[in-house]
Amino acid sequence: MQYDIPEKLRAVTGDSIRPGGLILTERAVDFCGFSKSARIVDIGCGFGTTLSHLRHRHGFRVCGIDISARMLSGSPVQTAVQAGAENLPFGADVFEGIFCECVLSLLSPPERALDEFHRVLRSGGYLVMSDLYLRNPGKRFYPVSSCLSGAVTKSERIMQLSDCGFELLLWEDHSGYLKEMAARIVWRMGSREDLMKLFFPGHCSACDWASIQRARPGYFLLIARKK
Amino acid sequence: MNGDYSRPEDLAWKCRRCDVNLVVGPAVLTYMGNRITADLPQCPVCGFVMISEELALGKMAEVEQILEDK
Repeated sequence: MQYDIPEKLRAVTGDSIRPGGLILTERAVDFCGFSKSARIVDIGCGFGTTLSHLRHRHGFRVCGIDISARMLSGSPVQTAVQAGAENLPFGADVFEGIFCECVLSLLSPPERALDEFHRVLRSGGYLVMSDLYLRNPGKRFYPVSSCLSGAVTKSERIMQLSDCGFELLLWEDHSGYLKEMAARIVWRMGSREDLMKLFFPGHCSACDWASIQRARPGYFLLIARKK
Repeated sequence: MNGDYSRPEDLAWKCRRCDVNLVVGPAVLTYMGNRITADLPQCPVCGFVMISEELALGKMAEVEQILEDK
């Protein structure tokens, strides 16, 4: 799947381009207690904000992958390569930690990426994930490509992780950050319609505001361990 | 995150208390624990900020609704 971050969104969120930014990254680092020499990979590293933070603030040995060459060209970290999450260019049992921030819901099917995460993680390694989820279960109604297309409920996400060999250690709701980001986008761009156009480019009759409200999109941070 | 939300006609207003023309400057808007910084017309002496009806009933109301959503 190809994607590129609209510059309008980047102008609002900064280079981290996700709810919560580095606050949730830092929360996960605290929880996992990685050693100073830990090898960490950032899946969907984009402009390299998390990579740069993990290297300079914590001294970890970091690398990243992203599907977007344009975003990688802006990364300050040289150890970032163009690749898809479903086919990681790494050997097995290499990393102590994987960060996958606001990326998995863009991938279909997510299990292929989760299998790859499991393969490249060392035994006992941590998977740090933050993403959108649906707080109301029900019918999926997003026929166009967007972050919400791949959002599932908490129980569905936990089941996927378990099926792919992960044990859940932490699940935290951080929907306030999603709300804050939506509010900032509307404030900056003008209206809810502008927000909708940003996330649902092209015509999508089923993607009206009321339908999205019914699904109650939220945002989570989870940490799981390779079994 | 700044943005200029003033219109030329806003700067024709005067602060009644200080008797000076409004200028455009940064203002911090807070609602339900969230902060947004915007450039808005305000009095350079007392700092009183003017919010136009258009802004209050338009974009500001939409943002409030988003933040109020459960």
